[in-house]
Amino acid sequence: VAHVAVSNGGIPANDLVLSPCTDAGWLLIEEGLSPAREREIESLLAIGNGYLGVRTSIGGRFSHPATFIAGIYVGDGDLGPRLAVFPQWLNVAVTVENEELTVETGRVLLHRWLLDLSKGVLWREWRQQHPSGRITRLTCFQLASLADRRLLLQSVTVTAENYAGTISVGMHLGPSGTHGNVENVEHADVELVAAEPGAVLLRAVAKDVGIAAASKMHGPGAASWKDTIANGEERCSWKTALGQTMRLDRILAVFTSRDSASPLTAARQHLAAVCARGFQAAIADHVDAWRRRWDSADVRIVGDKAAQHAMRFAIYHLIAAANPADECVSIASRGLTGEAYRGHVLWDTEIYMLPFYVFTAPEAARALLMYRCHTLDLARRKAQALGYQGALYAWESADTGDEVTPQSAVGSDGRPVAILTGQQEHHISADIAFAVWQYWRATADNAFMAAEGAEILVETARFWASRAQIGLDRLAHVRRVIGPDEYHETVDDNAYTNVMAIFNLERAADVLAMLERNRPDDWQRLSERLRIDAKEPQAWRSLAAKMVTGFDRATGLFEQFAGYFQLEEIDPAAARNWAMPIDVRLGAERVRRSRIIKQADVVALSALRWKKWPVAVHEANFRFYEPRTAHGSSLSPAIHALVAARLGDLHLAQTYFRQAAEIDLTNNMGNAAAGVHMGALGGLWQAAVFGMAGVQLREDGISVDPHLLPSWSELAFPLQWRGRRLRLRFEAQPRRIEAAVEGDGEVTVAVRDGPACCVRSGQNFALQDDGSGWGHWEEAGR
Amino acid sequence: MTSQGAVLVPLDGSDCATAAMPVARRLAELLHATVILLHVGSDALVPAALVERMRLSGEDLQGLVIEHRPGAPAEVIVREAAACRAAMIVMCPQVRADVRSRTFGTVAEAIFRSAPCPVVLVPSARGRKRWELHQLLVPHDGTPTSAVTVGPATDLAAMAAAELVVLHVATPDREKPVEPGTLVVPRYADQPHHEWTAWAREFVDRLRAVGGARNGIKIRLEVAQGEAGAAIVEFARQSDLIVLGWRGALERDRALTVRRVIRDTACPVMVLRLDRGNER
Repeated sequence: VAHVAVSNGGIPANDLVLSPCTDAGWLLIEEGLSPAREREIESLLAIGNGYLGVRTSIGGRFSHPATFIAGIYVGDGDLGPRLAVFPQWLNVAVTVENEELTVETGRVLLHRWLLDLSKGVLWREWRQQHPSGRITRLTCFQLASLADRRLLLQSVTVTAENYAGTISVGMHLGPSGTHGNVENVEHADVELVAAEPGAVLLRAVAKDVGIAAASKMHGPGAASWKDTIANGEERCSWKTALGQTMRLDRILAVFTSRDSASPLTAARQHLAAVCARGFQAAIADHVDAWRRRWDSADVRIVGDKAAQHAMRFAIYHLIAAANPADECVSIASRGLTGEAYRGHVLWDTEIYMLPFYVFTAPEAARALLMYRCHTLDLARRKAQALGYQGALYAWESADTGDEVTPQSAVGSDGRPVAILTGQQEHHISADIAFAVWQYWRATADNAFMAAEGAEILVETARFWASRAQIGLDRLAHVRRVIGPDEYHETVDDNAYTNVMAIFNLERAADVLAMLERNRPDDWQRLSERLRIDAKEPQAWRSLAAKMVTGFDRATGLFEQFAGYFQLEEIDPAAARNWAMPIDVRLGAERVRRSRIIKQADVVALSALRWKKWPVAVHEANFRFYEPRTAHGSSLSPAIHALVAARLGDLHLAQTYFRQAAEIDLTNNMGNAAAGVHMGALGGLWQAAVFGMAGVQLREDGISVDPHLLPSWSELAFPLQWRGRRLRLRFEAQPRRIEAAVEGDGEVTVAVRDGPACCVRSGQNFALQDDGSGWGHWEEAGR
Repeated sequence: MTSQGAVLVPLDGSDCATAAMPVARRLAELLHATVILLHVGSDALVPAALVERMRLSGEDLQGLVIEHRPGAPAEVIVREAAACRAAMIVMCPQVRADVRSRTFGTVAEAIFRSAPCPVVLVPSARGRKRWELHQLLVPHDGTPTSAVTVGPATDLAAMAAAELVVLHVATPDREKPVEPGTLVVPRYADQPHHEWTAWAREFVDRLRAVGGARNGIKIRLEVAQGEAGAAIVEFARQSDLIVLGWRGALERDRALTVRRVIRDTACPVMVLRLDRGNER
């Protein structure tokens, strides 16, 4: 990976309360300035905590800085609402003897960004020689607190290397704090409502949402301070001696009217409380929060530095994207790191990202599922509008859960194209049901399942019950849909959709039976509230049994949708040198008439429903569909790596893992500038944990089936299972597995083609392959 | 591209060279510059004789300066361009049909190689009809180096209130340029209404950032497929000026796109040297 450096770049920490990690495996470093890549760098180095996301920039015409707040959208034109862009609150404007310090004026002697993945801290070191000859050094860090999500913290040291004079540092709170390429920045997203010393109240344009920011700078004792109230500017000036270094620390609290009826008061009060404890305490809380989060999430890969780095980069952004305390927001396709997808939430969240949270931060997974619960009414409304019952979730949703997929857009050839996903891509309802079930199985959160989880399962099952039609063949068909392979629109009986619908129908029936048996009060309450007919569960099971899946027992193949096998064979491998997306090169219609598929569709079923069919079925389908897949989605490579690893095809697994890992880090899809690909990052975690380690849920714990990539000598990670933390370690040569449990209770760890072991809290067991197969579990030292 | 004193039009004495004049005249108007017709040769023509040989009318000559210099043509033209700080040289060279052989004659190639300013090549076939600048076409291969053309192009677009179209051509079987910061058409575009839009925006943003584009000038991005030269020529049928970057090589099998465009287009081509940076 191009961005890995071998040290922390020598950032001096002596003058600061924090120092960056010294282990290169935890750092993402960008040396020098790259105007061409600047916006891409802003995405990669974005900081966040699930409440706030910040793209920090060098400023000037190269930049596309932004601050996002989860759940706050503006605009609702043809392309739907988009995440509002807030002022660049962490921007630092330095003037030396009344001359502004910018990278575009004078000579950049040194510039380095350093993202410390271990602590969620972004560092900047910058030496600039002004045309006057003055050399100024800035060393800064900034963070979005993971311990207190309403806080942004920053520290700036300024050194006058070869001069004495007046230095001034300014920071903005109001809309004028937005900077960068004026043609890039959406200026009109917020307007100033009120400003007072050290605080502003803003309003998202045309939205009844207030946003307050309150800030306190702590600087040199001899400094003079100035607040320009009208635009919310704070400025601090001091006279510096030759070679002198001065430090400013700043705490900034952000509240919105989603958090408090009086966000300005809340922000000021919160700021005062944090200031009373001190800057250093706030930093320490944040660092500790990241330490604890990594302790429950780090995936250690030994033997492959690039894979290790990519994995930590992925986990960093996954941690930074989630806020377990907010049930009314979800994670957009690009998180809070960029404006692509307008901040819309798709199936990426439940199928690609959610497993990471289920197994490393169940409270965050629960909050994400609660977003689907809070938006259930809109899903009901969508189903009703299309003539169905139950709940059909929006293909793209934002703050309300309403369908925000545009109905048309301008294609790559400049012509208008109809966007059908909002009307036809229905598998998202089953995907959400699948996620509910997976969360419950991994956490045993019965309270959630008895209420919100069951409601989602029932309403989505009702959707499928009304959506499927019994044909003349007496089988149930789901017609006119789009599966994950979006190259083929308006198809009948997409295998992925129908198999997931079967799962949805069966689990809804299961949960009602389980509640009736184990939690009769909850069952009664739910049955009354949702007016569940006693015959409904059986009808769902009956429908599931009749559902066409396209499976052919003779070949072991699923037909991806009715008629797929009759389509023209075009080898997507031939397209590798076409220099264009295959659907653009051949045209949408030609691709629609071919067997070329966009992304894992039947292969995704293998990933999600592995135990449902024998390995031979997965093998047959992978060998059939993988060569026909163009990977026209960032979601596709990781899921192929996962399935290839489970099948033991380590060469393909490695190829796809690398492809997935490079989507952001080498910008191999050309669009990282608009935010990192959260689904692909979640997929990368799944590839390692579900693919290379072969983790699957069991009733009494988990099963594993390790297939470490050839370059990996060791793979280790923690998993949360029903309140216990399981630590797993896999060695390649000789094959060895270690399992340790923390927390109350026990976890069964089973190995495919090997024995199971019940590991109790505090125990550490190991299993080794002596060359003739797995031996016996033995207690090992810790 | 800032306003400078002169737009230099080298003349070889033949009337086909006068096809350069309408283009030079309009560019000079935009730049508030003076058109200098420069004849170089051993036959010391007085201006009147030159005018007669080139069949120029009195109206043609309004506002022009006519100069004659003795000496080796290419050397003198390049020297004069430097001396008068010419904004550009506008010329109408004979172009050879075989793209793999030498593109120009000896003199034109020497000027092309050594000119201290952009060179505008006007196809002689366009004759002396009036020329207006409504649309500039800037082919861009996605490399930071070739983005240098966009700054001068936005300047000209601003002066002429013309539309600026950037054309990116995706060529099959062509390796992606290895230059850091290069952005080419992605091989994949998921949910095109989101990702194609995001890619296109980044492509233009990158171009603006690296090329020093003038703020406020709208850039329209077009993407074509195929061999770059042919795609540019095809698209330029609707354009008035192609602004083309050239890395300074003209040897056999080099600069095939530049040479193909120059050979085949009916549109004037402004060539900017990429190996000398932004010449604004």
